[in-house]
Amino acid sequence: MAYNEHWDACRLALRFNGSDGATTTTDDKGGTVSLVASGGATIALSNEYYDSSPTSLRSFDKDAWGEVTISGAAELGAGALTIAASVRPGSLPQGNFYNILYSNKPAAPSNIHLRLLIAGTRWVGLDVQTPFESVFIMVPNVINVGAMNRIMATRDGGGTWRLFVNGALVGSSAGAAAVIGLQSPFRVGYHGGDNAAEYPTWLDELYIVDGVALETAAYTPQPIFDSPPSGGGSGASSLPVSVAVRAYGTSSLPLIISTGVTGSASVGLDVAVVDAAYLSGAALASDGGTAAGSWSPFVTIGGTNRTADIVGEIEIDAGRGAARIASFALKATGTIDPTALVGQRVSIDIATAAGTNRMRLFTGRINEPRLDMIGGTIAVSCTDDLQNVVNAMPRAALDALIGGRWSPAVFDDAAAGWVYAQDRLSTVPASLDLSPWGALRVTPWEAGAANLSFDGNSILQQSVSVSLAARSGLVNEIAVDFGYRFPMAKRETFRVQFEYLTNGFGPWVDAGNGFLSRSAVTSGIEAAGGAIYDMEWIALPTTPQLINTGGGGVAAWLPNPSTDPLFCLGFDAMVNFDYTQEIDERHAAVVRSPASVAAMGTLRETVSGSLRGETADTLAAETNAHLWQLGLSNIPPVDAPAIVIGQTAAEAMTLTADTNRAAAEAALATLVDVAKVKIIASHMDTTVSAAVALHPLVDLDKTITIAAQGVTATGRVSQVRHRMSASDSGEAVTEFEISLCRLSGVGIADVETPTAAPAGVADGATGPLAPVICTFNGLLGQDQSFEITFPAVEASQRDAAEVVIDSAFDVALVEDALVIDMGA
Amino acid sequence: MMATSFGFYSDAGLTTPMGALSVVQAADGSAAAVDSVVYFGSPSAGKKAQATSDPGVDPVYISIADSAAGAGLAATAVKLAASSGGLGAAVAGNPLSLGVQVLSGSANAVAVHVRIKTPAVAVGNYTDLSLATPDLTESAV
Repeated sequence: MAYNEHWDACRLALRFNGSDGATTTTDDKGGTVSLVASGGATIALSNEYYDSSPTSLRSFDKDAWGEVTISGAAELGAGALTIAASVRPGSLPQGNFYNILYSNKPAAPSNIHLRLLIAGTRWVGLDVQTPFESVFIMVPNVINVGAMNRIMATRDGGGTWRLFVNGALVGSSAGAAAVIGLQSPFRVGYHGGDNAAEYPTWLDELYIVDGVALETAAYTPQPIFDSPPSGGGSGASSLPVSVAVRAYGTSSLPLIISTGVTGSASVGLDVAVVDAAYLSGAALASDGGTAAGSWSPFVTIGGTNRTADIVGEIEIDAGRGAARIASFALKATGTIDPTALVGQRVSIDIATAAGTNRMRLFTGRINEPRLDMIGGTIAVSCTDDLQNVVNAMPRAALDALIGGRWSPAVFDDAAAGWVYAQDRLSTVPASLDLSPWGALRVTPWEAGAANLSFDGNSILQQSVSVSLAARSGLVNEIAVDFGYRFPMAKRETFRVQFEYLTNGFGPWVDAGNGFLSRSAVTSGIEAAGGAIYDMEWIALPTTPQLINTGGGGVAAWLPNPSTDPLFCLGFDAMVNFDYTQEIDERHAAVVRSPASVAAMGTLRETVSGSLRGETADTLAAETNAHLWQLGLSNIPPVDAPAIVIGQTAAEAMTLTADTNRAAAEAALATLVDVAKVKIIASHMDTTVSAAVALHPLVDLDKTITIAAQGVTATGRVSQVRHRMSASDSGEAVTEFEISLCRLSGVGIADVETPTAAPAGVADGATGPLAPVICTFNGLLGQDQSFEITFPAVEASQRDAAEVVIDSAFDVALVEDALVIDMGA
Repeated sequence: MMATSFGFYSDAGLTTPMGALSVVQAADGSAAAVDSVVYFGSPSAGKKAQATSDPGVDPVYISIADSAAGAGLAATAVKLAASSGGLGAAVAGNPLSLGVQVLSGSANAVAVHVRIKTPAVAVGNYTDLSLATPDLTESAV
């Protein structure tokens, strides 16, 4: 409940609460009020003008008042004091007054006469008379008749009285040094004046507070102390608050609420723990050694074991650089949706008959189901999706996986995924495929040491076969033709030293000859297309010269500082001519296997490529260099060959990153590696095939030695097929093929020439330049002209030049062992 | 069933959701550790995954969940690392933090290197272990 901050200092709180017509009441601070009326006067509690307390004090005329007897101290407000009350006058007849509070103790020791009153013509007044102060404040036209008025008188610590009506200060007076407080008892609601006409007045909420207790109410008027702070009392309470509302404008706080799906991700780990013998291949589910093998397939589709539904044969095929495929059939009964099989994950293992020691053979997806309505089966073909997996891989991942080389000058720059991978693989003698577990791997063609060996005890009877490569399929020399055209910046630098005095200054002057003007020199040079890099003039004498005129006569030649600097007796100039030249490098690289060539003769192919160096317009580059030399441009040329006096300096121009020297070298190296891989690949067409009981370890990443049925060979697996027929023949077989690198059995391992592009046309200088001819017609009677003639740029320096660069690279071939014993 | 598009894939291009990571080990514990790579990410465009517990603050991590603690394989049979070179120093069984968020798209796929090395255990197929993330919130970047 709202509570006024002055309550503690409030000494009297007359709220006049009680029943209608009651003639006694008490105050909330412990004082008592007895209503006194005589001579027919009327004063009582009344509920006629309920403000917020149940009743107010209503009195009609004089001789009726409320006699207030305070408890505790007999004096109130001996210092700062506040008297506040709500008054509602029915009327205010002229000459009549109503004492809100009347304390009159004229005699010592009290000596106080204090009245807070309202009077006719809407006056409010304060009258305080003590031995120490005399205050009389009367303010007209401030009281509202027929309405509640909040009237308050305060005395501050300095004795200054102030009078308020409905919150407005209406009067004040100077204070006094000493004051006297209210004495008990005193009167409230005390009429005075001519009461010929009764005028009812209601009084309520009269408070006396020690101190200046300005009520913070926007007076309407509102009672302040409707309820005591504790200890009883009832009724509504309010704390009037003055609130000034200013408009500042609208405001808003946008809320951005993001919603998102939630969930967790997981992937199971399927760890097949098998006997070490199965892991090494020493034991096979398909081969019991001296006993029949007892095995079972284990096929899951979409993570569900579907082994029991398998009918017929399961076949898994894998080939070098190709997707691994699998095929099997499922029995179909009841209502089925074969289309739901498309895309389902598939895994195929071989296990022992008990289902243990599972070894993975295939991981992939169902590509196509085929329904056999008569047989009641669904045949599915599956793929490990190699191409799609590679297609989705970014170039950086493929670069890291495959290695090798790649150049936009050789391959399609727009290629991505599978095509990009194949481009890179063309420079690496290796294959890219997925393992039986679906992991990408790069497997070199070179056999290396054998991982597995099969002899007659393992290899199925009459399963070994040999396919020999034909010479017509071999390539042992590839000519790489690579053209690289690019511009070179050229600069000819001439030193021109010229003096025309043939027999000395004096005779020259005496003969009446002219002096060479400097501007004629510079104009002549620039007209020839040259740019002056440096110039030193031989100046005219700066001191008088005695001229022998012949016949013993002497004359004087006097210098003229104004005009002499325009002339010279000669000069020493460095002049540049800048231009460009197109260079056409023709790289003729030969990649070969010397051993194969020696054994089988040259079997040749050609690969070619080209690259054109790109820069800004070469003509513009020439112009810019010339303008810069002339000082007509503040933009230095990007490329500026060195200044080599008397020679032509050449420097390759700055080219784009895709066409510069590094790019050209990369392109050439890529072509060389492509050629190497072609040669290697063509020598690996000899194959040996065999079959064993299904061996899970036989795969494209293995090197296998076959020693059976007269054939001994070691090579990398290039093809493998696993077949399981659980429901039919009970056969579980692995058929495989190894590829051998053969050079007609010469058994030579060539030494590889590292792939590195040869050096191209280098920067440098050539010379000497032909001499420059200067002619000055300065003799008396001549036209004083000056002519300078530079030698023309040689065609070999200016015209497009073709430069052939040869290189050779040997390919390393390591021949694999192949021994065939046909027996007697 | 996870509601986010983020998951585990067997390829860097995030085209092949990985149903399970399958490896083979020897019953006598003699087999060499098998290293594999799985890719965590989302093929969707413009998404990010953050830990629901405190998005953008708590890390997204891959942990080794064991659905049969005390039976089957222990989580310590698995090591996780951000690179193949990191597998050697990785603590077996420890989770791998992927940072406070993972962005979608194959370019942002996170390679999680997994090394599985089992001790001597009975022959059989063990599926009690899995790689799992905490609850993730997927939202637009």
